[in-house]
This record gives sequence, structure tokens and C-alpha cells, in this order.
Amino acid sequence: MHKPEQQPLARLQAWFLTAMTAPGGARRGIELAQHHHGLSQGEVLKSAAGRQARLHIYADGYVQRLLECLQADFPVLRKTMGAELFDFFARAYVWRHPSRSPTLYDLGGGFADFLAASQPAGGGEQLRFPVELARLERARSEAGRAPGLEQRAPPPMLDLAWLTGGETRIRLAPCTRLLALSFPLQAFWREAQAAPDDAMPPQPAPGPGHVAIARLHYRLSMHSLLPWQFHLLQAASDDAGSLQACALQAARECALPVDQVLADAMLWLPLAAAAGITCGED
Amino acid sequence: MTAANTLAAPRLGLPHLGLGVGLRPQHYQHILEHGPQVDWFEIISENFIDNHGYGRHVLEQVAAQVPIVMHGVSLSIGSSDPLDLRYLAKLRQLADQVRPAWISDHLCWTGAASVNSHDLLPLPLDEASFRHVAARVHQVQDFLQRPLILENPSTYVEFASSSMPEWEFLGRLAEDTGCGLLLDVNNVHVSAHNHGYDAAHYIRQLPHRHIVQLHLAGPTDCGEVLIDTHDAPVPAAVWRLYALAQRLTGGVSALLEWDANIPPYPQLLAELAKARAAERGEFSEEAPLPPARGAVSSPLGFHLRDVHA
Repeated sequence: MHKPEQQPLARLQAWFLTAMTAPGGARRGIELAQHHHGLSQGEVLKSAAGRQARLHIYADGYVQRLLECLQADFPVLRKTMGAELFDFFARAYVWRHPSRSPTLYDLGGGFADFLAASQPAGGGEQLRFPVELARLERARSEAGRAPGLEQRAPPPMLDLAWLTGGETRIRLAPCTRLLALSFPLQAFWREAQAAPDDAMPPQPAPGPGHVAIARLHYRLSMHSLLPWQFHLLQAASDDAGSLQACALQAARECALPVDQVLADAMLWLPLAAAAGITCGED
Repeated sequence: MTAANTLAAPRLGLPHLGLGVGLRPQHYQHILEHGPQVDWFEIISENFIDNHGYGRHVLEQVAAQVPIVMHGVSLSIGSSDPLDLRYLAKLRQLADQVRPAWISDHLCWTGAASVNSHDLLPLPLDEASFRHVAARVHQVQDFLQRPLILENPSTYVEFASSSMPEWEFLGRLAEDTGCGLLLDVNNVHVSAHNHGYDAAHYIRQLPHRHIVQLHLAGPTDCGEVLIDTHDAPVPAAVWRLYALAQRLTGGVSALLEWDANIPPYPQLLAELAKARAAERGEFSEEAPLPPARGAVSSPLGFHLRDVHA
């Protein structure tokens, strides 16, 4: 009886992985694997007489398993795009960007960028809508898993040290996510999430929107922000900065007097802390 | 207990936890309201690594009531890639926090060249693979400072270079490294059907004192091939293997897996309750088969469901 030549494990696994992950399914994958790794299916796998090779179970399962994960990560995007179009892009994404992480939670991390890169240059605002929806749903996933405030003491009242020459710092809660959007997505997302597939709300007209996704007691909430609020928090997230420095940054971005931003911030920051958007020290 | 005594003791000296189920987001609310109603839970380790959300909160509540076992799907003990030490460090950190009764994964590889297929892929069962896997089991056990418990996977293809049956590979691995075995009797049933060997013979040949835990599940019958879908009641053939395994081991922890088309918790408990009767050889010969279309092996998407307080 012919004894197969012993192949290094790395070569066999590279063959197997190419065969099961190639676009077009197992048949195409086996051709590619032979081309790339110089091994035929018969040299790698046992075959019983009259029995079809079962590599397609791995190939089909690979795509379907990752597709289901992306579907679970982007439920409203899928309803908005339609299942067929979403699945088309999701398959293309899986093939172009195979997972390199031990956890499936990381799989969808680049999906919004992939959608954006797949669009033609100058595609217009309407093509931005699914991209931004993907960013929103990804941000919600991240906010749900990031370290939160549940184990921490309630936030202190905003200290007024800066009024007397001291320093007041703004800290974004580690689970808060900030988004600058070109569509008002919060209301659409909420309605679409609850809507049946055949009764989706109309896509909103373009318009700038700034959103904070926060988590309190393990519940996610989405908050509309004024532009200065967004930039104040953005400055704090880049570098847990002093109130003065963050206000200066927000004032520059929004062409507002810094004193006005500081005054408004003193009124608004306690509300942001109560919503779990910001937090006290560790 | 000395090392020699540990190896001589049943289950490597690890406890017999009784009957458990997988902790799944779909059941969080029911469990928090009504209590676990099982002896122990198994968690998918990767679902809780770097997870500081509601799932972790639920796990802490549950772990205060019943033992937890950490079951992984990304160790990739058979991969030609180097062991992922960053992943192992996170696994150890999670274990320090959860304090599981033991840590398990699969005799498989999940990827190579840094790509993760998120599937439990079969190994060539030959001497070179054996040496490779055994060395890595030693490395993991040294890192985790505890025996690794390895599960037999469901397989659909075999490598041409395989030179020994899976039971021999696993048995030698257990005796060489001191690792434990998680015997999935459904996977034995599936692989035995798919490759034409005797499932009961497979179970009889294993070193039974190394078997720490059993898995139960229902596969999908696709005719010529069975697929490990974890989406159905346990069929009679698997109950029969379960009774055999419990008899040969003298009694070990058992866990029902149900990861797709997940039923309400009471229905899951009803299926688990059949295990007690099955140990006495009492089980129905009739079990409904799930539809064979769209069967996905090793379903893992269940854990992404967005469940919050």
C-alpha cells in the first residue's frame, strides 16, 4: 500500500486553510491550495471510494459562521441594506480581511472602513449612510464590552478648582464612544431596530450630528451632543485634559469664545457625568 | 495531593461537579430570576476575555452560586503557529478572576499564519503531530500551572498521513503530558459515523482515569455525514455512549451543549435531566432530528447576541 509522503505540519495546515477560506468555496479553494502549496487533495486528505470529499463542510461553515457574527454585530445595517446586499459585502469583507484575533468580537472592527473603501470616489452623501450606520453599531458593541462605571463610586460633583487657579480635569468614561456623523442616526437606529424588515423608517436627510454612546448599569444610551460638547469630550478622550485646555480646543473647533464654552461646560458637565459619559478618577 | 496520587486518582483528582449547561446570553435573565438550577456552568472563555459588560456581571453573580469551568475555542494547540502567549496571559488572568474548576479546549488547530478560522480543525494524527502537540500541552500547563483538559473534536475529513486512531493519539497525549480529557460523546458519535469506526470501541480504549468531563449535544443528520451543530436534543445513540462513558469512568461531570436554535432555559433543563435516567440505561430511542439544511458545524455566533440588563 502506498504510504503518503510525510509533509510538514505547517505546509498541510497552509494547504487546508487556503482550501477552506478561498472565495468561491471548497472546489475553487482546493485548486488554489494545489497551486499555492503544490499538494493535491489526494496527497493531503484520505478519500474513501465513492465518497465525496467533505472539505466543503469546513469551507461552507467558515463563511457562514463569520457571516452570522457580522449579522449579529450590525443588525440595523443589515435591515437597512437588505440581507442580500449586506451578506455580499460581509462575505467580501471576510475574504479580504480574515480574522487574526482569538475572539470574534474583533471581527467587525474594520467593517465600516471596508464599506467606505468599497465606495467609488465622489459617491455622495447617500453612500455615507451605511458607513456611518456601521460605525454607530460598532461603537455600540464596543461600549457594551469596555470597562464601565458599574464598579465605581458615583461621580463627584464637578469641582470648581479652576475658578481659583487650580485644575479641573475631564475624564471620559472608558466605555463612552464619540461619533461625528453626517446623518442624525439615533432616532433612525432606535426605530429601525424595532421595525419589521418590511416597515423600516425612511432614511433621514443628511445633517451633521454628534453622538456620545454611554453605558450606565450595563444599559447603553445614545446622547446628541452640540458641536462644542463633542469637541470638549474629544479633547478629553485624546488626553484626559484640564477643563481649560479642553474648552480651548472646543472653542477653536467651533469658533466660540472660550469663556462661553467654559460657562456652558460648567452647567452641562454634571449632566454628562450623571449620564455616564464622563467619570471621576479611578 | 502528590503528583503521583493526582495521576492515579480518577478525574486527575478534579471534582465530580454533576450536571451542567453552557452559560449563554439568551438565558441570563431566567437564571438571574430563578437561579442556576444546575450543578455547574461552562463558559466559553473567549466570550469573557476583555469583556467588562453585562455578561461579565452575570458571570460574577452565577459564579458566586455554582462552580464554573472555562472552555476555550482559540488555544489552537495543534497549530504550526507559535502559541499565542498574549492570549494565554489573558486566559490566565481570567482564570485568576473566575477561579474555574478547570480549563479546557480542543485537540485541534483553529488557524495558521496568524489567520484564525474560528473553526475547530482536524489534525494529522501522526508521530510528528503528536510530538508537536505534546510539547505545546506541556508549555500551556506550565504557563497555566494546572492540567489542561482537551476535548476530542468532531471531524469530517482525515489526513492521508494519519497513522493512528484519534483515541490512541488522545490516550498517549494524556499519559505523556498528564493532561485531562473532555470526552464529547456526541463528537465521538459524529466522527465515528463520518469515518466509519466503532464509537463504543473508541471510548473503551481511552485512559478513563484521565477523563474529567463529558459533553453531550445533538448533531444534524445530513445523510451520509453527521454535522456537529449543537442545535438539537441528544439522540439515543449519544445517550448510549454517554451511559458507557459514565460506567467506564466511574462517574464524571457532564455538560449539555446547545448553541444554535437555543431553546428556553426550562426546555434545556428538561433535556439535561434525561442524563440521570440515561446513566441507568433509560432513554428514548426516538429523538426528533433537526432539519438538515444550512447546518453549520461548531456554531459560535450565539455569544454575539446583544443582551443587556
